[in-house]
Amino acid sequence: MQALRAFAVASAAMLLLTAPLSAQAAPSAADVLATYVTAIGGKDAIMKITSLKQTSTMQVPAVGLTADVESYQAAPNKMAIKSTIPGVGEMLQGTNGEIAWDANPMQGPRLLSDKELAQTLEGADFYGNMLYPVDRFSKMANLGVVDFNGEKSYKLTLIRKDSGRETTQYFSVATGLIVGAETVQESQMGALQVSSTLSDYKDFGGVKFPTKTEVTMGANKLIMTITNVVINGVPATAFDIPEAVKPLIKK
Amino acid sequence: MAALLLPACRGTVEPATPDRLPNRSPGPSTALPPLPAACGPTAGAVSTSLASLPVTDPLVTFDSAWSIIGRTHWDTTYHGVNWNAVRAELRPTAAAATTTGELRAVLSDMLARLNQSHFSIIPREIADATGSGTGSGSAGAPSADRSGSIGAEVRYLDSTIVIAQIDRDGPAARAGVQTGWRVHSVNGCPLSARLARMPKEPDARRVALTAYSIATRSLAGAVGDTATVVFTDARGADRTVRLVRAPEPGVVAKFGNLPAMNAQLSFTRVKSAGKTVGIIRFNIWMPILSPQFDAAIDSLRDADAILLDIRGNFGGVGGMSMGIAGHFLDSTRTIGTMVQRGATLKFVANPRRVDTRSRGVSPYAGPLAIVVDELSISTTEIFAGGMQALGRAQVFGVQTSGQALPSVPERLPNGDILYHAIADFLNPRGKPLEGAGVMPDRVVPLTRQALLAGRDPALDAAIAWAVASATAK
Repeated sequence: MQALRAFAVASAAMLLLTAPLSAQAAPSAADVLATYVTAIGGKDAIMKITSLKQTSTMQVPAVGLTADVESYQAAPNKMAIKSTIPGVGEMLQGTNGEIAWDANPMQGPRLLSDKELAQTLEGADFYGNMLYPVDRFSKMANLGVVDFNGEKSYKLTLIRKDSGRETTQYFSVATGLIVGAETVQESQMGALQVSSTLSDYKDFGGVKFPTKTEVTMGANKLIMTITNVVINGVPATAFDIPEAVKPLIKK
Repeated sequence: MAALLLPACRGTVEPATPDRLPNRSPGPSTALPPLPAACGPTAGAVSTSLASLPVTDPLVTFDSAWSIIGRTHWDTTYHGVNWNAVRAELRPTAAAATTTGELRAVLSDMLARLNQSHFSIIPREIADATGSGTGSGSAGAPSADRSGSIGAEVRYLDSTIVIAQIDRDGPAARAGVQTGWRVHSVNGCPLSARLARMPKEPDARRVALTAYSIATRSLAGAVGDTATVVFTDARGADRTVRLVRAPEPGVVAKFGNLPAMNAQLSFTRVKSAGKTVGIIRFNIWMPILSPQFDAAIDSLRDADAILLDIRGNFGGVGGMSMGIAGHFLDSTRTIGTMVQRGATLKFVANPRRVDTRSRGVSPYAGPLAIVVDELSISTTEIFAGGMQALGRAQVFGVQTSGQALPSVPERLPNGDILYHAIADFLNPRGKPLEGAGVMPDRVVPLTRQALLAGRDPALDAAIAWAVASATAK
């Protein structure tokens, strides 16, 4: 009986020891994000980048379309995307950090507002999206290790301060790199559940970029493949407001 | 990209059952006399070039098609169809398929079980054709090239095919063909023989669509080829006219996996009772026409009223409907809602406040009339139904086709295209367009008598309303 009691006490002690050990094994969200920053090249390498141009293709397999995409970004918050779609023409999206626009041949130009504007501005947050500074988030939590696409990954939930947008992001335990994300995309047409997988990381200018992103939006799937990234040297004119958008801006 | 595809493809055929109603279940089988020898292969056999090819791994394609529908159909009851049972029933037949044609027949059968529009197989030889024409067929054999036209539009009236519109400079116009003439035969093949093979169908709109498809396939051919057409004129006399097929006016539009289609847009001004009515016609919702439409609006901004003639417009890229609607709305409005599995998306039209020269403008605020018919399909119905429900347009003509399910053309492992609906569509009042279509505010049917008299009743009514509205404004 005494031996049994001793075993029980020992087991309890083991449990007490094990619990904090497990907690220590799961890094905080901030730790996971710091590891990610290191994994893609480190803060110093990232801070050397002030602008970049990505050349990519966007496939929409369900429709059989492939668009050529040129994407420009510059610190701190500028972005311009030109997608050329066969049979449609050029679609322009962007922000100069204050206003955001969308202009396409089918629907004409428009200025973004409300949640769309907030999400676009967040998307243009140059260092915020690479460095994950904690001041950009109202909540960061590591929900533990899960299997994501066959890879053991930390599942983080992140809520942006400005828009209140919540995303779930998956970071590979093995590499530290982000391998997936889930969020709700706001658009004028309504909210859409979006999930993406990121892979095929390649080094451009000392920083790793995922060159393949598969995005599932409702019943639709997009495949983005980056073919080139040019670091720095993007001219300021890349972010000029398109002529067709200018008349919409209230003086 | 927000654009969702909503077309009913002219190129869509079901090769193993060519006389089947497009996108619908076949009617009851009846014994029919064989077609006259002059009719050659069965109408619609434009896809037969690859149908006899041996098929490899038919189950890979079959399972892929079945899974895509299973994953994307917005209605988890599959329109009341036991989708698992369909697979179990048809999979052995698919496994036994030895030719591409046999596999297509099984796939088409599977899709027909859903009994909904916008489900069909587009053979890869049609989907991948450039639409620029491949030249004449060999002697005695019908050409698969159908890029040439006699320069006339037809409609199914009183159980016959009637010339409804003639291109001003086309072969038919040059040969003196008149609207209202009946098409009796093409190259010796009586159209009545083909029309007699149409399956029984209670919905007159579907019959009209099938008849139209049969007639246009018969009349089309390679550019430069000659069609010997026997017409019946106003007096009931037969007239034999040799027409050298010419390229269709407009431009060839290719959008993703959809077959190449001819896209045409034209506009004109009509003066009536001291008022100017701008009339814009376009035959398909292809983005290549968007800049042309924008330019037409720029040219017609000073018109007292605008009329959109979208009869015979089979649909196209759904996203374009929002952009066109925005030319006529002074505030952001929803012209309808797309209900997918797990997502409900609004078709939002933003006022178009910038012209083609990047100058600020106001959207067109004058009276707007829309003319439709039973061959106004898909995106055309979304647009017309939305503008009507918002009270922005008066609709004239006859009830539209009622085939308005948002759809996408997805490539299957064997290269064919699975054209499948992914959503239901509701007008701004929450009413589904599928089946019902759009009922005009003023129903004005087309008649052969009117055509023979050189009149266009629906267009005339729309112009009269536009003039009266502009006058009252």
